[in-house]
Amino acid sequence: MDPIEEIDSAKRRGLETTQRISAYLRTSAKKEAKRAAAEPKPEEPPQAETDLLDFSSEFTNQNLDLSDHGGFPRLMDWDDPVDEEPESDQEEEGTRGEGPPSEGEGETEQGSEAERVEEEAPVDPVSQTPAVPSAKEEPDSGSAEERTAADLKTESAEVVGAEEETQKEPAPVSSDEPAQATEVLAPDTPAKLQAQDLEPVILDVPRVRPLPSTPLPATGRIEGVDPELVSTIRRLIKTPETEAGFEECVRLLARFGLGAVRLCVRAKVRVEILDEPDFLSHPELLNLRLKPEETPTDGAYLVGKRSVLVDRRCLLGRPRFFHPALYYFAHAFDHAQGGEGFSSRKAAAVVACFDASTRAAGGFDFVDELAAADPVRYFARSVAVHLGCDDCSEPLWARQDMMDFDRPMHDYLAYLFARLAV
Amino acid sequence: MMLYALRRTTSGRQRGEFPLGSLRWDKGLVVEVRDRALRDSLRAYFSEPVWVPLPLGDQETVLGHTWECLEPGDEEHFQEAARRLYRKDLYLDLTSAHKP
Repeated sequence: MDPIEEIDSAKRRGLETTQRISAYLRTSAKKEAKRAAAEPKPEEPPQAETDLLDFSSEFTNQNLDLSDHGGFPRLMDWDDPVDEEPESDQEEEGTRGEGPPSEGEGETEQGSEAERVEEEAPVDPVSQTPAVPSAKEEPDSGSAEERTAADLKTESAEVVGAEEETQKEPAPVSSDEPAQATEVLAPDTPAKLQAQDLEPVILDVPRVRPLPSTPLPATGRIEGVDPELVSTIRRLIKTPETEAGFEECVRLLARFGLGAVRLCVRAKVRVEILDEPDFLSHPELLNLRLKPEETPTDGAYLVGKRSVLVDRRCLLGRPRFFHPALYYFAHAFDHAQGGEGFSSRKAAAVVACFDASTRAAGGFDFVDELAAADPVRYFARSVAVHLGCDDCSEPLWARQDMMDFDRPMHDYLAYLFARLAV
Repeated sequence: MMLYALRRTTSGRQRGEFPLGSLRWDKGLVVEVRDRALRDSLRAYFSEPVWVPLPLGDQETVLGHTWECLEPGDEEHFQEAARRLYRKDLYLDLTSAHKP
């Protein structure tokens, strides 16, 4: 296209836009004048609004008397709107919404939406629960998480009465609730019944996995480990000490160091050693209604419960490629560090290392598919490599490999664990 | 794809300067390496199954993994095995095109 024509057409478009805006401003100003004349309000004659050159008409319209709520809407917005009566709010919305399109229009719309939510929430007759007044986006996820956590607690209890409670719970959920919350709640409510139904189906599934090769001695594994560290780790592991695999689990978790383990204790992380059938029929895994092919092998980390599940077979013999106890406890450690979410998602160093590996030769710098999935798994996998010694018969990566092929992550983990040790 | 040795240096393992040969998948494994011992060991290496951990779940509910066993005889197995050649101190330059 000819550049002169292009410039002309751009100018033409700009002119048309200006004309359209001015026409809109004129009509809206006329409407405003008519409305002001029709209303019985004696105050605030809308003279300034007719001035089209003034782009901040909201300020020129203002009645500078601060005691008057109606004349100073923008400044009065920050004041606690719960104290105001709904009628006065509606009046304010009416006066605000009809002004010419200015910079603050979006804000006023948002403000009015927020007020609407506040007005509707207490009136909800079905839920009869106090509605969260602020933040329109956060309550969806937050409330869902809280409810799932509460539901999971009830499910984990092996009391018969829990079933009745969970069956009663869906009643307060109002139709006004967001769809996500109901979706999360729905699978949890008949959990016990579903768990019993799902159990045999999952057990029948043949599980393909590389089996541990070399058997390990069941006792004498924690000799030489710091007794304070051992006692702290014992608080994490919910499996009885007499069961096989306990000492090996303590030995592996001791590699994280006292600082990391204490962090996990504070975050209420728990570790469970399970046999494969128990692992498959774990109630919390069944409640997730995973398909048989989606059921994890060797171990898992239940995010909501902060539970690390480790298959006992991996503690009685050497796993072949990587150790699930280290890997899944690294998830728990990451979660404990991050508070609500995983710290690796926020850590700039981890994200940068992950991105660098993704860009390098089509992701061939990752140790395996797990690490290539996302920064959270990448961090956990790197920690498992960093803390791994002679735990596996054919480790995919040893620490030396990480030093050679992913030096930044190696250095970051060395720094992280050195800091935790202090 | 060109095959190189990985040299151990003070700053970690690094790719050797000269290629040892080439490897590619052309409806089957094609090994073009002059060193007979290396060629045989590569053939043996690529005839073993490869276990691949696959991620399961998500960061909101459960994080887990499962395993997939890739049997020799297809390109996916070749690619995965080629990624792990560092275990034999070899490096396959996946970006290099094969020159017949």
